[in-house]
Amino acid sequence: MREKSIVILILLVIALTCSLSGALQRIDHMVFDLGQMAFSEPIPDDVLLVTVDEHSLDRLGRWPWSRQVHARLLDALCRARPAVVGFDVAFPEPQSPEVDERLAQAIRRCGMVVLPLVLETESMGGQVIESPPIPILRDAAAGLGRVGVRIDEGGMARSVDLEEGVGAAAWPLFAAELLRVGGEAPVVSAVSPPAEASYELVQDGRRRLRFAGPPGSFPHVSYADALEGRVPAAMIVGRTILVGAAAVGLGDQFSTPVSANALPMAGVEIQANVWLGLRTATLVREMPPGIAALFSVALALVPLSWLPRLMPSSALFSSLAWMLFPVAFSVLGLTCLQWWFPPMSAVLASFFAYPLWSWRRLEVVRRDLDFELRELAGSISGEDDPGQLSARKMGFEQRIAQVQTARQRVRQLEEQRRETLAFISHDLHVPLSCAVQRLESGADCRPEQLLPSLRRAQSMAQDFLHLARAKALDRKDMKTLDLIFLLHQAADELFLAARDRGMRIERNLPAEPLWVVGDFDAIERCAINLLQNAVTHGLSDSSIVLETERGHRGIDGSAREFVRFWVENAGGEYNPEQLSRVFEKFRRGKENDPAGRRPKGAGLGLYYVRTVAAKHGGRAGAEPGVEGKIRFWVELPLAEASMSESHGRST
Amino acid sequence: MRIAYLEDDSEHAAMVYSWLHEAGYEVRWFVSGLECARIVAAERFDACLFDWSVEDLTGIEVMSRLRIKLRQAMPPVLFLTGRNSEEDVVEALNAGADDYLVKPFTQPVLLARLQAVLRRYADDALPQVQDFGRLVVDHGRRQITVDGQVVAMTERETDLALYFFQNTGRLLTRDHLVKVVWGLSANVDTRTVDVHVSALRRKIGITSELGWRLVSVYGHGYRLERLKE
Repeated sequence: MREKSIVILILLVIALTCSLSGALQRIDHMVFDLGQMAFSEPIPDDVLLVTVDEHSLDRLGRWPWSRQVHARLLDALCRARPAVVGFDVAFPEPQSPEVDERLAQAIRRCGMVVLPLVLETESMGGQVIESPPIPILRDAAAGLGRVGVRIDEGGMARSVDLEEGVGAAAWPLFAAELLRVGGEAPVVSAVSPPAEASYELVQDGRRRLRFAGPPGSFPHVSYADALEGRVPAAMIVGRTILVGAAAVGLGDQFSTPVSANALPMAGVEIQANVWLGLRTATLVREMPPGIAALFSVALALVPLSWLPRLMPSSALFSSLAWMLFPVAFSVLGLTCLQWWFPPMSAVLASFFAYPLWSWRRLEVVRRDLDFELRELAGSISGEDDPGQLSARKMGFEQRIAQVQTARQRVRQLEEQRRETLAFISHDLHVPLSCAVQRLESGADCRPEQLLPSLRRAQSMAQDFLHLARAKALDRKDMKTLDLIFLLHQAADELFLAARDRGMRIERNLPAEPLWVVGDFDAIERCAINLLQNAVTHGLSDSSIVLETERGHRGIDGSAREFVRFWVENAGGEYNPEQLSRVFEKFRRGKENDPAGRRPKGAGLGLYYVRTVAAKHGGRAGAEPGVEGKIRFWVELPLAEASMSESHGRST
Repeated sequence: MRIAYLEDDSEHAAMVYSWLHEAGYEVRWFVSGLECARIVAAERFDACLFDWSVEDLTGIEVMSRLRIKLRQAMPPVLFLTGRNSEEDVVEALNAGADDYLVKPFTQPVLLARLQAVLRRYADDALPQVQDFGRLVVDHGRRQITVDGQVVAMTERETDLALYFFQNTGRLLTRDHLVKVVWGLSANVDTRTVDVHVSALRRKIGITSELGWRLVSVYGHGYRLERLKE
């Protein structure tokens, strides 16, 4: 639960930040543009643009033309009885009284001419002023509307304000006036001058335009052709006519989202698009930022409802698929409800949902993994030191490797258990049941007959216990001890056994103590095992040599002083292959003893030696000596004390 | 000599009982630790033979109870343990046991250990000169000879050697040796004890060849044993 709240919090921050800062606006615009292109409104056939194009300039000379020309055009158009004429040419200043009067007459005659009102920003001071047509024309016109469009941060004409004006949002749109005069839509607001003198620019009711197509999509004819009667009356009758400049160089050109190849759109065509949007009610409202942010957050959090239930790959794919949803949602809102919701914040936030969630999951998994590791280490401890786990710097791979090693260790333990069972069922069980059988038969149970197998079973069990204890040896419990004393003690232990076989143990041991850190009992048993081995397998009437030697050996990169002690005896032939294997488990030296002696013990003696040596950071080995002798050795690291203190204190 | 014997394995107890009986000891066998503690506190015993644990108490608990009640009159305690583990032995020795035996043990070993602990508490005077054949220990003149040759030793080594020969067969802990040989006030490193014991072995030649064994008990103490032929 805590994990989930962390993810929710981070997603919340991402979604809100992106949404409110508008950082992803450009991408949002792209989505909008793609959406409007994919679902554009069909262009009706009752509209016609009459454009001042290059051809008209060729025919009628340089712009601006005499208003007489415009009057003639209006006469020509109105003869064909259009529904309404929008004359998107500004007449802010008088030209000459006669000409202005001539145009006013033409406008009045038509009775359905809408003139533009331009909101201009003064080049000095940046003050916005309203620039209506001269009064005579204004009085003659059937309507007056704003032709302004809103240019966004990217320089694109993207939206219009339904209401805009200096002092009050009082001026209707040019397109709205077209509709009103054409008798199609109710008046949005009456044209009335501002009640109070104010110089603030008021803008209200921003709507995004949905362009019907790239520039030139609306049916259009050349101004000159219309003026000179080359346009059939059928193209004009009953239609909404928009007159305006379209030639490059006349200004009044705008970049639009639908301008392919950066081809600008003429102002008059944008007005046509506004008119279409108003008529079909397809101008798009923008969702207020607060609500959009809430939507973004809600959409971004949705993946969390299924992420906890899915496995990584399906979770990934479902999250990627979900990223498309805000876009679809947005386009749907745009085309069906005329509401614009910028989707990219939600997309971005839901993009992060998966990695964030995965991160938290991985953390949980890591904790589980660590817990399991500790459990495993705990259950198999005694062999490996669990201190490795405390290294928090371990990477995931290492942790997994650790778990694998731990598992391997468990398998090894299983293997050991199997071996133990085999040992008990065979090596221990056989001599015991042998003895029981004899006792049960009742016939003759002389102790001499029973003792050997019972002793064998007992010594095997003991070997086994010793080995188990050796495997659990812990460095912490080791003490500094005198190896020489220990070796003497071991030799004493075997003295009688050796003498019984006519052997002598030669102690070539130094006079001074040699300190090693270790377990007295275990090392002593090692020495005893080696000596026992020599006594059992050696040739009778020979001598057994017990000797030590100090030396250096590189351990863990640093040369450490070590002591090697060995037991050497004449013991018949061992070939190298045999020598390399004598330290293995359940190996009983020479299985085919020529003397026919049964091997004593469980064959764990040398394995025990090797185990103990390893536990002390040393090693054990066997090698052929001189004159057919065989040498079993153990190397142990010397304690620090031995290096400085080579002479015993004698007080 | 009265021996208190605590053991709950009747088969084993019967055998040990017969061994001790044959050797002339009067043995009282207990199965319950509580009863053992009660009786031993009330009556006089010369030595205790405690199994590691019986059903109601551990041998160490019985020993601790007795030690509180009897104080100086506490008889020597010999522990019998089935597990030959260092922790057990050290725990018993630290709790005040005099020696220990690991099961299974033989009659001679049991009797030898028992005699060794009993001797410490009896006041029988040692002979001035112990003659072990090749090895002669003269306590009066404070010298040890091997094959007629006097072994050259320092004062401290001589003290230690004589003390060992006075206590053959007994377990002498290092702490005890430090107290006796170096004196209570001495601040002696346990390793110093080891060094001196090693020196004894080397100088006198206390090895099985000479008929002696000097055994270290888990590095906790030493026992000088005569090798039985």
